Amino acid sequence: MLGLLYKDFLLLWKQYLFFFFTMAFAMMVGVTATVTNLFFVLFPVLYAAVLPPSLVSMEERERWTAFALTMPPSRRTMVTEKYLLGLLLCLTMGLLNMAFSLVFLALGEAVDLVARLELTALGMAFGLGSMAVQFPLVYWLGAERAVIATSVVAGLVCGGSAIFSFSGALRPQGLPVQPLLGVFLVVLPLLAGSWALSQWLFGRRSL
Amino acid sequence: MNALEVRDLTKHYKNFTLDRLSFDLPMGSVLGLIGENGAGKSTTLKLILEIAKKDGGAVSVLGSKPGERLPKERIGVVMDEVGIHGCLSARDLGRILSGVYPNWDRAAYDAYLKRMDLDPKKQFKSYSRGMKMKLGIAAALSHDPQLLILDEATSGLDPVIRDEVTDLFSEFTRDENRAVLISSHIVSDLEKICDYIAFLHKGRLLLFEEKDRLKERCGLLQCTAEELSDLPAGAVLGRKVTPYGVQALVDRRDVPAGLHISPVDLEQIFIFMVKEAQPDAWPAV
Repeated sequence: MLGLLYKDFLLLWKQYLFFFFTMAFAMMVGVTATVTNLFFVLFPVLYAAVLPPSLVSMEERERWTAFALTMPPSRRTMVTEKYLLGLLLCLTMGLLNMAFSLVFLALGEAVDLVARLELTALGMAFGLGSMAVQFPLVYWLGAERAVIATSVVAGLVCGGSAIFSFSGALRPQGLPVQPLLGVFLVVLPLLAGSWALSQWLFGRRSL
Repeated sequence: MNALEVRDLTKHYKNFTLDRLSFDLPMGSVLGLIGENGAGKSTTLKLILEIAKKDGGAVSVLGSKPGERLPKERIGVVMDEVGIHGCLSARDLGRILSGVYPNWDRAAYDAYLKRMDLDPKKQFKSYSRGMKMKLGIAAALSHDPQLLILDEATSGLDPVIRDEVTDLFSEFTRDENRAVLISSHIVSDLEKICDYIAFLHKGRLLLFEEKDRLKERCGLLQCTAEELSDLPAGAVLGRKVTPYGVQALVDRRDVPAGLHISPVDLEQIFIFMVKEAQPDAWPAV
């Protein structure tokens, strides 16, 4: 598991270096967000959630998946590692979001930490939800056939949240906490179910 | 003890069936899986390694029982295309695999890289096919496997590299507690290193035999069609009409003394089996 996680972070670092710069830029913009550009608060977390399913597709295209199946980690471990990676990336982006907010607060900017926390949590919920849909599709259909389906899901989540944010429907203050908890109550079991489904689907697949 | 036991291994695809394959690979030996493109060699290896799901049969690797987890930490594998990401270097791969194999030997890996003249810092995508294969082989050997499974590992390599690689495999099996299963359609490579030969044709195992016994048993007979028809039934395994008469692959045991039979190499046997086989001369094993 550790070797696979190390490989994925190394690959993200080498292949998606622009991702880290994009995230840093989005977070900086997000910290000073107004009603109309809250998307930049959500974006890093959403993007982080899209990356692990993309990695699975890339691994299959580059034949890493078949190579990995010759190694000791089981298929279950391979699937679990990708979900863990998704969770870690989402969590890291969420924490970085908050860290950026704290830095700007310390610099004397007017940052509403509670509102930022709520938005970050909302972004994480949407990101994990999109991951929960994308992973089983990739493990079921394979990289080639899943690419359209996963792009649609990623587009819907990112695009939807962009429209939602820029339309002003999402306000930096006054996000009710209870619905947010509700979202997590839906998303976390969805993610757990998706994990079990992905294991089952990948366990049956021939490469 | 057998390193590998395969019983009635079956896989159905839309246009291809791997039909109840059975064979053993004893410890301390090299088994060459020979067959034309599409014969089912890669499918067989993928089923053994559980990369593809079998429809029937049983596989036991290094004493594992059916249904048990394969001891993959004791198996080294090189597939026809080494699936390493282009942006990774040999050094990166070593670090990754040290976290994957509990028995990873970093010093051995570094030694293999040096021996194979591979730059540890160079990205995989800038390697030639030969270098990629050599890296795959270095990775497969660096966790001290007992069983090496190689799928077309010598295909596409120039003769010098192929010679180096086959030497490595021969060296590997000097230890009696190790075994190699190698698939290839380059029969000359297998002839050099194999102890056993399995001929696969259209998903069926036509022959499984010790290489030396097979070469001892079979021979080439150059004669006329009349002379050939005088031979006992079962003596002729394959025949080819040439401008100079008939060339036949024969079983020496069934040919009367006095006829001149020339030695035959595996490639000739393979071609006769696939193209010029007599009906029922090679029933599936």
